[in-house]
Amino acid sequence: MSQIPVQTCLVLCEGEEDQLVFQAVAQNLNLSGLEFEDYKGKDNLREKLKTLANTGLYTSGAIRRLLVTRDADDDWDSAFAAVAAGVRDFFGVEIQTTGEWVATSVGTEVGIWIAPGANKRGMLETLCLDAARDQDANSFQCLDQFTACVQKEYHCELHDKEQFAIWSIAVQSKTLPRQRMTLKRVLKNIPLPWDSVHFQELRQALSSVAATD
Amino acid sequence: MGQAFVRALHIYCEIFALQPDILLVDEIENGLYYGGLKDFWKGLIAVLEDQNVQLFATTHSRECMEAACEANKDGKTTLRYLRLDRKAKDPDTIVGTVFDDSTMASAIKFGEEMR
Repeated sequence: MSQIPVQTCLVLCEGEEDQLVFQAVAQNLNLSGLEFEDYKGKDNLREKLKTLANTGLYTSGAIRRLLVTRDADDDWDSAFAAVAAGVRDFFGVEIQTTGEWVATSVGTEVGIWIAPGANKRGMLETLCLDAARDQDANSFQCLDQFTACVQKEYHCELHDKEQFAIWSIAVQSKTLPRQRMTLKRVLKNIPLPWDSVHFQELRQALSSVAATD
Repeated sequence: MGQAFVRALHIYCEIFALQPDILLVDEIENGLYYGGLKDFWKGLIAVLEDQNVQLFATTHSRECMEAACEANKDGKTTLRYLRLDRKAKDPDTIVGTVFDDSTMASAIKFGEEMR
């Protein structure tokens, strides 16, 4: 028989690096009582939700609040609909919009948040990119020219993830080249402004998870 | 003979000698080498199916649960996992959760605690 479960709040993140960003923002807010898990990519979200719904952690009611997050990528509506469908199918509740908390049959309140924010295209790196741009405007003058040139020359669109990676590589001048590439390394080496206005919605979403009202 | 052999032999004897409809085994993995659990389950599942015996086994071992799931990958038998938990807000109440092989396989993939 399990011990008496301690209640917690759980945030599901799309990937390991997304989880790092969420954790950094939560730490910046001094939020406690939050647990974070990544589901290794949006294609795994339904499987993750189905599994979570069958864990003792959930069925015992130990999860007070569950926030399911995902990147919008190119279509916020589709991303929200996909997450809402998973929540409906495996937790039995309908969530109409972000910011809404709906209680399941075991008492867990479930919410959804889509990065980079309400009805916007993009991803978590979009927020990081926008915050970095505010912090380092000079570098972004170069980056924007480079981006425009590459996109024109190769008839492609450089993703926010790629633009952020290019900026972060350049900024880590004292770091060994092979260590510059991952967001994990970036977050370790570069202090991003987690109190930036660009993270406002994310801060509100995380504060909402931890709220005890 | 080692304890693992004796344990396995005991279980098989219960099946063949008593020919029960239902067999109850507590902490089934006791005495068994963790690396041999999958083979143990493969053999046991085959015998249970052959002798038409329903097994209820308890375990606290994640390795044992994962080995059973692995051993039944081809779906030779119907495997169900039943977990008992105390309710967070009412610890005197027990809640049971039943899940199948595919959920167990997913739990292994995500590293979920299913014990």
